[in-house]
Amino acid sequence: MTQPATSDPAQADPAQAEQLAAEFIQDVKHLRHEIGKVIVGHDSIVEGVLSCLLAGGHGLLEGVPGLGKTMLVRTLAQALDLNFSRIQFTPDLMPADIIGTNILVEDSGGGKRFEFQRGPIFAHIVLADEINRATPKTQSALLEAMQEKSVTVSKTSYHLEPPFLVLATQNPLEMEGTYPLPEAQLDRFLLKLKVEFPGREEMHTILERTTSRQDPQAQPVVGRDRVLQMRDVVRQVPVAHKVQDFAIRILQATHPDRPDAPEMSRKFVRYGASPRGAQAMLLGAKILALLDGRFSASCDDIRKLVHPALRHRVILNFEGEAEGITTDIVLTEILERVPQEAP
Amino acid sequence: MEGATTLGIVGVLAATVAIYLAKADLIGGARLSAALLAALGLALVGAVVGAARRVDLQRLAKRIDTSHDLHDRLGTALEFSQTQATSSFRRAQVKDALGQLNRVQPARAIPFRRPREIRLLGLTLLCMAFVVLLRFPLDRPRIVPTPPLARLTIAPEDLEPHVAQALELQKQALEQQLPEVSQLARELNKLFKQIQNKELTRKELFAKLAELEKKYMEGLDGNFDELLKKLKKMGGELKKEKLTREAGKALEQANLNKARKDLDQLSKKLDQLDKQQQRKLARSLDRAAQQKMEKDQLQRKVDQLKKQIRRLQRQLQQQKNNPQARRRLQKQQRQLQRLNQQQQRQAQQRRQLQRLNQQMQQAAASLRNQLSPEAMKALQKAAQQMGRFANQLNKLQMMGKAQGQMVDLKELLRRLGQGKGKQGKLKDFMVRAKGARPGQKGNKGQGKGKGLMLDPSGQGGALIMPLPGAPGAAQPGGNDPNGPPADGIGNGSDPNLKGQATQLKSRRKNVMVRGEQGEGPTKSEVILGASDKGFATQHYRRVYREYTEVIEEVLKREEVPLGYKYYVKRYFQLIKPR
Repeated sequence: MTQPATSDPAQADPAQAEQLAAEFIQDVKHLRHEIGKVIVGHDSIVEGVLSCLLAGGHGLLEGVPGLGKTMLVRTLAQALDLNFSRIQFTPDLMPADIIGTNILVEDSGGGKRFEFQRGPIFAHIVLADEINRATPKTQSALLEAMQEKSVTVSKTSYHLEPPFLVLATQNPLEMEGTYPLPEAQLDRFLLKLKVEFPGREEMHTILERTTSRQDPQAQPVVGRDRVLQMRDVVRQVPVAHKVQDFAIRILQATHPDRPDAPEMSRKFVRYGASPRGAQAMLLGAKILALLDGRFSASCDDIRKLVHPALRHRVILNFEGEAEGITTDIVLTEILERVPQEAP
Repeated sequence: MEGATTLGIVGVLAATVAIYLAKADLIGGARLSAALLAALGLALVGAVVGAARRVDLQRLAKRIDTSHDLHDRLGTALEFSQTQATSSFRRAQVKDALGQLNRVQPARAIPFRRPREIRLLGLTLLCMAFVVLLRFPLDRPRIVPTPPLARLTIAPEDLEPHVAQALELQKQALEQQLPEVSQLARELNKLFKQIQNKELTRKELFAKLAELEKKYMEGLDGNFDELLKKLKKMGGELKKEKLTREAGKALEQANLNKARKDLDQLSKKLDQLDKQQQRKLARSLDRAAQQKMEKDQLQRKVDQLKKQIRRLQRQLQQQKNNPQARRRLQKQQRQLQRLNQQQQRQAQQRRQLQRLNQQMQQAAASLRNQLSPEAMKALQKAAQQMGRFANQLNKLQMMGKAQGQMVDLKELLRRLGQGKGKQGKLKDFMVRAKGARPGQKGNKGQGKGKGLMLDPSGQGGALIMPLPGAPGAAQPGGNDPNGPPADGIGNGSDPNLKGQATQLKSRRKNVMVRGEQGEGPTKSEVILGASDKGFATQHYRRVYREYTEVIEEVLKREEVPLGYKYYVKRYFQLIKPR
């Protein structure tokens, strides 16, 4: 089993880091291979979901129905050999349906007592399908679980076993009868990934796989402990000060009240991204660096992470909404305006 | 390279100056050599300074990272190598960066670039080459005499009305025994002769006109109206008594000469009057001698001006570089000076009126005491005073005419100076007619024009004339200053309007005029129709004189633009009976 690299300068050996990185790349490669047996294309989405898993965050997948979001999450769970539960969010879903509840049980002696019946949240990977269909009360039941990795029922806290990963999906089209996620909840998601419609070649493969007798299944290649080790490796990747500074300057540029904010931010943004946005960018950049065979994150990695890490954290004002501006447009403008070198 | 180029430019410029000075024999050969060496040295110093400048390693690493697509490997490794704390990942990062160094090509990272100022250097070198090839002339250049200014030429038809006016002025001045006016008219005639003989330039003519104005007009812009009003009032009182009726009427009609004569005649008849008549005359003279001119009519204006001047002076002390305030101050100081002069003249007129009053009162008192010789003497003095008033008034009127003539002449010169032919003058008039000055783009209609509109149905030739405010009226032109001028009536006002704006919100009703279809009357019908109304019963000269007097009065009283005045006067000159 691979040991975490030491930070003691005397014992620091670059070969150790090289070995950790090589194993990391290998395991991710296996995971992608297994997922690729079932999921066609969507490389960036798979990479994003794996980033959420390895960074210890949660992911929000947005896309029209039928693009394989649920399938992707289920396949990931299969490839990881982890517990998986799926919660279909509906307007009548209650918090207890997710977290669990105390039920009255009768023991062998005829005595009666309350026993906590665990809800579907007690799993390693939780698929919150169509999360925006549940009421805010039910959505907020996820808040504590996602941030604290624990749930509290009747003054008793129950810890969720790591790794705990919530992957929520939402449909951007049918907005009637939905409850948009509150800003606080959106901020809990490490990345927001937009699932695009597959290309022509990918469609051919999907049709061939789904209309024939073959039923590909992913095999478990990475276990729970290995996932936790990989998370530790990610956290060991160093980041240069200038790269970190670049991420901070991008984050600050989303705030309209900053004097150096670009024109578009000042005009169309109501609230900028929270510091969690910078954390998400850095963690994601570290994973990208490792997967690219590098030992530290670069500004290019940060650039790749700007949209998925910040698009759900930037809140547009009324003018922006009215003009049909999206957060992606604002972030693209920010990327063009913010120089890589600090002024 | 950049440093060498920058200092090289300075060096070349210095060398160019040195070569020029050497060619102009202002410096010797030794100094020229020293200057050239110094210039060369400057370029070398620039190159050395540029080469010795310390390279920013972070910037260099960034350029290599960017050019070789190394994803910040070198920059990050440089930063990690400069920090104390290290870990296996940091060391691995540095090792990885060092491994990439083999494929780094400095030329790819920092390709050769031409110095930014290379073009400027080339230009300065060209200048130097030009100076080197330059040949200084041995003898002094011949001074070409400046051609004399062109003599002024005014078309006879333009000058003729002015000449006629000057002659008329001279004649009137002789008749009314006004030597100053007569002298001025003579000088004006002399000027016109010089213009006809093309002896003057435009500049000389302006100078001579200014000289004449200074000589004759200074201190003449006084106001005689107030005094005349009082004299008319005096005439009204005198008119009530039979003995002084004629003099009173003359005074009321501002005919001061006749009033003087009547008073003079009356003084000679005093011996023949009985006691009752003398008492009546004394009463009439007493009543008439109650005229007083207000003392402080201008004082309030003067006080206001002084206050404004003090405020502007304070403002200027605080903001010394405020040209607008300075200009306003100067303008108001000039205005104050004029007001002071007016005050002095008014004071003089007040004293003269007072003297007239005293003389009439003295005459009245003498009559009551039956002292006919003294009364006669006092009345004669009053008549003399009246005569002085008449002279002053005549002089003022004549000088006003002469001044107007000079203004007209200047306007004519200005127009000639713009080089306009007949067509040009016509265009100029059209521009002025639209309320603009020639040479400026005229402001178009201020408001929304409401145009005349033909009945769109075209039936029966109806001409609909919507008045302002009528619904459904066409609105061409309008607020667009670049658009064509509206044909119709505007509803705005000139921003420089003096007086009240036209009140548009009046009661009115729409009138629809329906035209009559047909070709209309023939020419002969029109001429015969006109003759049906009868023929002129007044002599043209008389009509012309009456109209001219009215027009002159209006032009004097109203604030009419100078351009308009010119054309009105020109029109009356052209229709003058010959």
